[in-house]
Amino acid sequence: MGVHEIASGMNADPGLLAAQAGDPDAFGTLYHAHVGRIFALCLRLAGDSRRAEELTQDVFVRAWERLSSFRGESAFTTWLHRLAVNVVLTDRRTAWRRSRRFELTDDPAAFERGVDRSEGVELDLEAAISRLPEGARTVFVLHDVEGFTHDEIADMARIAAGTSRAQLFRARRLLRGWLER
Amino acid sequence: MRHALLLLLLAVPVPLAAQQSVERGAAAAPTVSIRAYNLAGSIRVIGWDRDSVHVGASVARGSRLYFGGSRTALKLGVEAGASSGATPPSELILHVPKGARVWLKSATAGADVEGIDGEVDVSTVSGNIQVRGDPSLLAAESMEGSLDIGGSASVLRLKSAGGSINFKGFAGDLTVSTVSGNIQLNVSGPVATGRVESVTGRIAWAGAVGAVGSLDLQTHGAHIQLALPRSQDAEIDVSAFSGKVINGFPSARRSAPPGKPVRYLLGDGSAHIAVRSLKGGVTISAEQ
Amino acid sequence: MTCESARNLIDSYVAGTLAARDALALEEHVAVCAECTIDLAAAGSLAGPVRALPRRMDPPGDLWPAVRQRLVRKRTPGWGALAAAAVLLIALTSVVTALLLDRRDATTASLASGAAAVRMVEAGYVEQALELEAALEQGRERLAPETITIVERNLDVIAKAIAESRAALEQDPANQDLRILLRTGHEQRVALLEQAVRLSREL
Repeated sequence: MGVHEIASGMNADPGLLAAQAGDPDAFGTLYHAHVGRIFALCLRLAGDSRRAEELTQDVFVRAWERLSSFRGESAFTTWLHRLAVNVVLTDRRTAWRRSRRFELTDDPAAFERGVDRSEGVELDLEAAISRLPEGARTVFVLHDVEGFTHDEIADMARIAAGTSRAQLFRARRLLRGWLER
Repeated sequence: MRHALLLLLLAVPVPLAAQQSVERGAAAAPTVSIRAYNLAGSIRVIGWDRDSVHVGASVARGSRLYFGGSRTALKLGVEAGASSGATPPSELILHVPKGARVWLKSATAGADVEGIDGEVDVSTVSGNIQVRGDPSLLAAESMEGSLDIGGSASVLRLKSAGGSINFKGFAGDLTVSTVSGNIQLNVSGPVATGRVESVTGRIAWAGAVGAVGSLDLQTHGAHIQLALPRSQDAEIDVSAFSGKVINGFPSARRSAPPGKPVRYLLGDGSAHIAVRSLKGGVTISAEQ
Repeated sequence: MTCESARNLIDSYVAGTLAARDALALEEHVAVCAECTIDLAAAGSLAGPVRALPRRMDPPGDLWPAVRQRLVRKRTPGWGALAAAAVLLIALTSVVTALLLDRRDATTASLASGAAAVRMVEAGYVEQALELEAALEQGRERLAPETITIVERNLDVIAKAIAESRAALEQDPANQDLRILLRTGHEQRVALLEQAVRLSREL
């Protein structure tokens, strides 16, 4: 699993080249191809649908601004996912006191709003993930769901790799406890 | 209907001729959200066991008290007159339901909160902040003021650029940050996640880190003091680039794995602690 | 086997990719360690459900029109305009201009070099700091002179720390702790600017 396996080879994509040259319509095609995965990532990291929508917008605006620096050394998907993680984590660190903080109370239902998915085990797990404390949720989503390594997470989340490992085990213990209740 | 009428009346600003005592009150939900502003002077908030809000204010000449909203959301504060220059000081004392969500904003006014179980969010420019009690979530931020916090919070966020931060109590998830202010933390129960950082302020931590918990202490140029209970189980990675590392923890086993900073192991090492300082030293000790 | 080394093996054990000898060693450890038993069971029971999670989720509404609108607006200022803005904000931006100029050859530098390690950490913070400084400049007259002094004093402390962390990382580009220290410096700077901008709007 994880973003690293999806080497889409988009670096040769004429659409990508057109977008890099500043064509917003070509960028629109890229947007529509990737928005589902980026929204899923933002939603799981942010735990709030409305916030995830704002962050998804920010990710694509940032991607547009930085597109010229994408040199195709990695797959576009990998590049975009790293960028998305940075946008979400930076936003969280620098804006933790915005007035929306009053919406930060545990509200697993917020996670479900407006999201069309099948019922079943995934739903329970999604709700449980959204209940995790922020640090543990971040590491769990990045490591177990998105497939980043602890070293990569350490760099992005600005924590020690050991902290990342500790948070992962904490997250898994909490999740298992909730899901087996 | 009666409440609606009352609130409508209350929403009208009250003009005040001189430094004057004003009292206002309204029925409120147990978890009412309250936004209170007072730029200069002081704000005091006290949680009580009643479903109502009471405001006692001593308002400066030329300033006015406004107060309005609904049972679930109230906004109040002191509005300075049109005159230019520094805002004259006013005093606000609020009694609010214990479970209220309280949001306070001031410039030079000090803020003092006690007995709130709900969420507390306080922000000042240079006013000192003091909180006593057990809010579920506490965020306190100042540019230059000092923070003195006592009690417990499941989530605690404390921040000051130039002021010092002093915390005594319990927090499950804790983030503390300063630029030049010193940080002193005495944590009474095992923390699940802690992150403490400064640029030039000293950091002193005393307390336990829970099993599979994590603590990250970081400063650019100051000393870090880490005191842990003798029973602490943890792996501690220390990176001090130019300062001295002193280990006074009797049972700590030191190792330097390849490519890693100095590591100390206490017990099985189930919690993870990272300590880094570019220019300062690090002292590790057992709590007395 | 210690708990730490056991934990490092749990994921590959669950994935079935662990060598037989290591798997045996892990099983022996788990048999006598309650903590690692919990961690192994948690990893094992979650692996399947996590794999079954949907990779894609569509946002409730179409976000493209809003994104598209911001693209046009954002794309207009080139680096020249941003650099000009930086000159206007010189009082608050001692570090930023240097970084901007530094960016030009970012892609030609070898990734192994110290300068490249620095750029990898700093990418993104520059634009963010510039945007905030522009916003702060706009709201400057609404802030008390004492507040501006406080902000500038703290920005100076942070700028000095950033410069020192950067120099240290250039010397030792592979050091993760130095990367974290430098990143933290930039985040503190952005957070302080955000706080100042918020004050200029709210007070």
